[in-house]
This record gives sequence, C-alpha cells and structure tokens, in this order.
Amino acid sequence: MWTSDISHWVETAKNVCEILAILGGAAWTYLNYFRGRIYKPRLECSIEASIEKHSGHSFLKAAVKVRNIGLSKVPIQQKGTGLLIYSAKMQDQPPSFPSEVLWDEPVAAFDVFSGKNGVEPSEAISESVMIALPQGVVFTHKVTLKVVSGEIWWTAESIVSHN
Amino acid sequence: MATQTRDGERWTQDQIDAVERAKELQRRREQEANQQRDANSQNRQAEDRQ
Repeated sequence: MWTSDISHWVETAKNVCEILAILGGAAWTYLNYFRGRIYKPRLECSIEASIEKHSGHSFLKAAVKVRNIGLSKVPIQQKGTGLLIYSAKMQDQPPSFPSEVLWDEPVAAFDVFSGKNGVEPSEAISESVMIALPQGVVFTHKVTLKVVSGEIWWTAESIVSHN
Repeated sequence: MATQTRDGERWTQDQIDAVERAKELQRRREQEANQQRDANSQNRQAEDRQ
C-alpha cells in the first residue's frame, strides 16, 4: 500500500517534469526562433568613402562591406543592388539660416557584388570601387550602398566632401 | 561616418526601378565614352598615316 503510493507520486512527478521540459523546450524555441530573429535574413552593411586627388584629378574611393549576422544564407539579387552617388544640390546664394542639403536623383550608379549570389552565415564580403569625378562645382557627395534580397533591401550611407 | 541598417526594409518597385535606371544610364554613358575614345584614337591613327 505504502510503496504503491510512493510509486504513484514518483510517476506523477515524472509526468510533471516531462510536461515542464516540453513547455520549456517550446518556450526556448519560440524565443530563439521568433523573438531572437536569428533565422531572419540579417545583414550588416557598411561603407567607407573618401576623396583622393591624383595628378589634379579627384577620385571617390568607396569600400563597401556586407556581413551576414544571421544564421541563414542571404541570397543577393543584382536587380536593385548597387552603389549610388548623389551630388549636393547647391544653391546660388548661401542660405541665410542653417538648412538641410537636398539630394537629387543619383548622378551615377554602379554594380557591386556582381560575382556573388549570396552571403553565408558569419561570412563578410567586401569590394572597393574607385570613381573618377568630373571637374565641376560639386564638392559634396552622398554615397549609398543598396543590397537587395527578396523583398528586403539594406542600406548604408556616407557623405564625403572635398575642396 | 556611415549609417547602417541590420534588419533591412521592404523596397518598393519605384525604388528598385530608380536604381536600375541610374545603373543603365551609367552603362550607356560609359559605352558612349568608350566609343568616343575609339573614334578619337582611329582619327589620330589616320592623321598619323597621312
């Protein structure tokens, strides 16, 4: 009688532990998969741009980098992916108060990561582009990197100026 | 200093079209510049021969 009670309680405790383990596993999976977003495509895009002068000519040097910080491969689509150059819209007269510089449509665009069809988890890919600038009155440029995967795109921007 | 986005954002067809238009324009300009360079080079060679 007494041993039968003990075995009953042991069996009940075992069942409770199993249920708790299953619930704990489900909660961990939920937090890890959905809340943690680790299987969502996630990219860290960066761009470093500078102006260099050689033999009287100005060049815009841009180093673009994409790192996959998620746990699934992120395919890259060439359509929409590129390096865009914008020029500051200069006014004839300097403004009488601080005003934000406006950027028109991109003045130039270049393909980047043409040979890559995707980025593996933890992989980083980079590319450097050297662009000869026309001589003119535009001294400030915005350089924008766009990387497209599926219905999502990632952006990195940098602004460079020269004398 | 560069700005970064990690999660990305949904693009619209107009945005993709704007990028592709700019890339196509750049390709056309480079093609025209190459053709102009070739024509100039051929003219120079012709002048040299004369």
